[in-house]
Amino acid sequence: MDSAGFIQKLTDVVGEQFIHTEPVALRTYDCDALTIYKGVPSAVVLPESTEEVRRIVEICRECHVPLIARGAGTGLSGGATPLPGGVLVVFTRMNRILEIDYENHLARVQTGVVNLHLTKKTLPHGFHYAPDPSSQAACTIGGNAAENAGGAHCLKYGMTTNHVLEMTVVLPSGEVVHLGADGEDAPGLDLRGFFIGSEGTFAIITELTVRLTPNPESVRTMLACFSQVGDACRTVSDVIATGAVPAAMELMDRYTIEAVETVVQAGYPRNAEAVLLIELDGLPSSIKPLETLIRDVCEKNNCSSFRIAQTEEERENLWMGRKKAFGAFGVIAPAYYCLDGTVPRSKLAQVLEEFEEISARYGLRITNVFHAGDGSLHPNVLFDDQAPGETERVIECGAEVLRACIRAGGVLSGEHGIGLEKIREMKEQFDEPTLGIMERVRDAVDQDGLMNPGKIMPDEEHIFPLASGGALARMGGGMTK
Amino acid sequence: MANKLDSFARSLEADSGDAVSLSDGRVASFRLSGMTPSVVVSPADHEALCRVLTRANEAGLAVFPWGGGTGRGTGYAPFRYDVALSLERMSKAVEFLKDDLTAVVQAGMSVEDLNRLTGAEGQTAGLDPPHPGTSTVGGTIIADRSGPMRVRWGKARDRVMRMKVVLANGETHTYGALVVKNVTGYDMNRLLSGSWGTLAVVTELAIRLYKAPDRIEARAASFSSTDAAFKAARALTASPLMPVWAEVVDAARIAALAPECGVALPGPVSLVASFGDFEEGLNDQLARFEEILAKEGGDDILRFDDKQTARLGRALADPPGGEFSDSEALAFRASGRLDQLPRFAEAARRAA
Ligand SMILES: Cc1cc2nc3c(=O)[nH]c(=O)nc-3n(C[C@H](O)[C@H](O)[C@H](O)COP(=O)(O)OP(=O)(O)OC[C@H]3O[C@@H](n4cnc5c(N)ncnc54)[C@H](O)[C@@H]3O)c2cc1C
Repeated sequence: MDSAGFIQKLTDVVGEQFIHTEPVALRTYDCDALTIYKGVPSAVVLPESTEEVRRIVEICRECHVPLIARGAGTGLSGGATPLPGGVLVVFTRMNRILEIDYENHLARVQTGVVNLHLTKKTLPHGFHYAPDPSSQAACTIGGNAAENAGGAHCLKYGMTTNHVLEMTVVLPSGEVVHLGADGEDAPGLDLRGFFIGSEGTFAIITELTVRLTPNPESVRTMLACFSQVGDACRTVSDVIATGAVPAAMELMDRYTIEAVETVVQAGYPRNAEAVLLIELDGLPSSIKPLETLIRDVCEKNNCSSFRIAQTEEERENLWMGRKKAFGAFGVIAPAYYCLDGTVPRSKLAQVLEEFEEISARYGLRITNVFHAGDGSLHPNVLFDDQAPGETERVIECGAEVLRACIRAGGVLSGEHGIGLEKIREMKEQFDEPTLGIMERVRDAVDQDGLMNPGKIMPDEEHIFPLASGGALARMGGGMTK
Repeated sequence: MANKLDSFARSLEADSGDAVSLSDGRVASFRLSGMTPSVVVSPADHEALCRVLTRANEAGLAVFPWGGGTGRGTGYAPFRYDVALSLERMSKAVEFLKDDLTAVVQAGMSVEDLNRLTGAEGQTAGLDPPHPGTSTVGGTIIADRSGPMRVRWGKARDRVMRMKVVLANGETHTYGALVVKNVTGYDMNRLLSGSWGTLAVVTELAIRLYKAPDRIEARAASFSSTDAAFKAARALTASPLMPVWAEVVDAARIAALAPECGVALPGPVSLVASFGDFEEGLNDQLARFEEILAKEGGDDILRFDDKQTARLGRALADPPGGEFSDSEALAFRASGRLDQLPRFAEAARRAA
């Protein structure tokens, strides 16, 4: 089939209004929130139902054109960045909440429902959707499942995989299957769990049944300030060692505080080297003893001040600082590159020291704002994306940061996924046989490499160009191992 | 067949010496759906286990990984069954990182031993499969066998941070890391948790731990019907209370439980739930649960102290009949939306 015939077939499925092929329109979809790599698709389609997705998959399969799923495009590892020439399937129109069952604490949604919309809808009924990535106002529930997204409160409530009961997916064969079940004990292999976090390389998710979580009866939010980052890190591991499980425990370093205070005035002391934002939730009677326990640990680790938000407004202000942190980096640098290596919580202080050394070596500032309670780091390398050669250097600096995480017994990614961003480092994380079996399993699900090729697994074949115009073939030479 | 087995046994003896014990005298205790293996093999460590699988693979023998054997009543009979691969000699703790709330153990460790290890530091894996003295940690995870405590700690498979496994060809893989959050590559641990030994043999696991509650106590009330008890259970799950376990128990089970654990639940149908917390939170949760019970029409509210609660929790985790036996009983496990459970319970009762 020629290209015009192919486009016509897709048009027959979604209607003329919901397919884009003009270069200008295509370019708006050429990357996700990791903007240093680009790929222009051959077409963007916006289906509205599982059946339309199924037909799109069949057409692409017949014509050997790869498919890339895209939710809101807030991914930070290039997962939704199209392989040049592929068909991008965008879920903006599949945004319907299909069923809310308060009796059984679950909701059934289309993949494109925005995370926060479900929470907003259910909040007045005493429920919310627990996974809360900082991007929750924009990202989709299907995109969360594809990445197994986390968030500040997954310390207590778990990742997306703990909240998805069932998924309807379209396989590369065009078959529609249901993975998981409404109840807790689906028999057989946990394919639901295995497909979650597969970043669109196995199948396209079209609908999900997710758990709704009862709202906590009370919430206490506290801010502990430190004059040494190491003390803040030790506080985190000491709190974990006591066994207390806060709902959230976020760490922000000096540069982050400075950026945040310049932009929003969250009330973080500018002279602190680090602050910890700690939240407890549950029954007032259950969390009261934890409050004392946590205060004691902070004091033992030399916190310079400790305060508990007394009003809802004060609490929201403390969180606003955290939520606006990434945006605030804009005031101290033209661009930033956010990594998300994760380490055992007892290793936090050690890796942050290593990041300092790396930062000094590269002459690039690294700021830290992260889900400390999970050991889930977000080192941000600040840079000027217009300066020639700078992007390449930042990528190398990022690789060093990830290596430090691996050396500390950690992993490349705690929540953002591998995407195309970290596939080179996969060879440093896993040995050949382990990578080999992952590849075989992927090929078993997607024999023809139809689903989001060039992602997750090291791949010499599929190259994504750098946005800066640089010619760094990321997967080609320069392999470190 | 005899030839294949002979060459398998000989090559293993040459490879491994004492690191692998072979026995054909014990095969009777490894029967499965009426089939008896030709040999029982128990390797002493990971490397020896790799050699067992390599040699079995070369010889074309069908291998059945064997933990405590408590799951042998589940599933279809195997097509072929030559070698029972027992993990009984791999039951040691590898590393207990208490400050990171992580225990690394060999797969053949019993759940009870894991509980003892972590309990000494006031921590828990939150695993309560049936027959914890016999069930192994590896088997519990590979079968994803959760018990009543799932409402508090989540499913068994949620405990896994890292697994070391051996494939059928003898190759070793390690999936995951000693971190609580990880999306690096495909989630192989989830693929394996629930695979019942059909994909690989797990030899070592890193298990995520939690602080064990200071004290755990239970309350129960009687209800006139299963429907009424389930309705009260739904009221409990809709409340902000955090039960450690919550069970609806019918008359037959109530009668069977009493001699097993020395605790008499009020019938004909009981809703019983336990809570664990610091003193103040515990008293609050128990009081509020009693209010729910009363409001939902529960009678004869009974209070159990921590010792009774522990015995009751253990008995509830075991299937009826107490000690594991090759009895002829059929056990079903079903799950679905909460409000559908009474219908299932009723259908099962009628079918019986
Ligand atoms: C400011 C900011 C803060 C963030 N904070 C967090 C955080 O706290 N925690 C966190 O985990 N992440 C965070 N992220 C990353 C990102 O928001 C998450 O990965 C999110 O889950 C992506 O959802 P999305 O709908 O935007 O998916 P996209 O970016 O569109 O896609 C992500 C991946 O999922 C695949 N995909 C999307 N939809 C489907 C589908 N229906 N079927 C199959 N595959 C699909 C895509 O192909 C791609 O590989 C943050 C991002 C930003 C920009």
